[in-house]
Amino acid sequence: MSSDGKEFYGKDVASAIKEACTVLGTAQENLNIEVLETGSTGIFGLIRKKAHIRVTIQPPEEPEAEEPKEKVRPKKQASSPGKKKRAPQNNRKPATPAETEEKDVVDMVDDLDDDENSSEEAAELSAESLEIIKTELIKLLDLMQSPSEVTVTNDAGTALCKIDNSHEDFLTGQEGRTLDSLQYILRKIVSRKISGRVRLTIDVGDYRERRHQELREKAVEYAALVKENGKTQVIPSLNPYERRVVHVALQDDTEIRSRSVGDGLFKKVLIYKPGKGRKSSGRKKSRGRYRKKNNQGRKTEK
Amino acid sequence: MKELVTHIAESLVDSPDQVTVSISETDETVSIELTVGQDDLGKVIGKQGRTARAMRTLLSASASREDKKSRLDILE
Repeated sequence: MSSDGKEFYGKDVASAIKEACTVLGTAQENLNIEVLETGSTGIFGLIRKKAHIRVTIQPPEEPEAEEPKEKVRPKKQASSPGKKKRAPQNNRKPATPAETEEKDVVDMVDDLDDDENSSEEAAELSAESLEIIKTELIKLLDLMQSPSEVTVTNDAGTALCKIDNSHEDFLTGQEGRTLDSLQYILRKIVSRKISGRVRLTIDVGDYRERRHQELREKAVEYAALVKENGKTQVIPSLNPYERRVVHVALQDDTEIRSRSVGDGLFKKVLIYKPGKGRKSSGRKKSRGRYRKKNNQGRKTEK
Repeated sequence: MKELVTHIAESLVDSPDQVTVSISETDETVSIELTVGQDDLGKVIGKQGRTARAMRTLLSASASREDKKSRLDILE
């Protein structure tokens, strides 16, 4: 608080402050303002008094708060552990080329076509590949102490792995998280042994079908709610494939819209009435992608 | 559980011989430490930590069978 206070006048305090800012060339936050006289507009322009303030410049606050936003990570981070979230930073280091993919593009589909060789055509699924997938999956299941019967079939280019339901609850986990993890790891492992991109899905019993049916019903139910009272409904924490199911289920309903919001793998899906101010302010695109053609009734398909 | 981590890690890295896994268990927790070669670190962590997260999910599923919590540390 230096003593070199400057004094300013204005027709009210606000304009005096503004004046001070322009003269001193700094923002109001950096000023220490002392109001000496609030001023008064008087009556009918009589007895008008000017506002009178004294201003001292404050040393600008250390802009610490800004910092942890978007610095490019220094290469070696061993010396500063635990400054930010852990996981994302670690994987920055060894430059695995696939890891830098832009997130937006991958949004809905990133569960389906993963990082490897995105440009490549889906590899032909030879009987040999199916065999490899099967062996690896059985191995993983054994290691998880839940040996099961596995059948692997080629479903239009996707390896469809069916696990029998003897350990269903264990293998699906909460909301299918364990199953998704297993699927992800299996794909990682297998894609190192088979050249080209591998598409595969793991199902336990008929879990996936049930889950999707559940989601579709929920989506339709929420949609009805939205139409009724106009309030936006939210389905939290869905993975890309599940979000897709919801969007597809609602795509032909012209009265409502659905949109994914959030960061990372799991996002929530908003179901809302269009034209309520929020519109497409934030994200571009997320709708529209799935609401193209295909106008026949969706509710009929079960 | 140790075998599970070992197997997954060895399947994902370029130099499986550099993979070491150590495990220590108490009544409540299973804690596993995974070390891989310097160049393979990214492979076991994955984009946005996704591979690491998937491994942790599988581990916690396995551990919950024994009513335990699990913990996976990837060491540099």
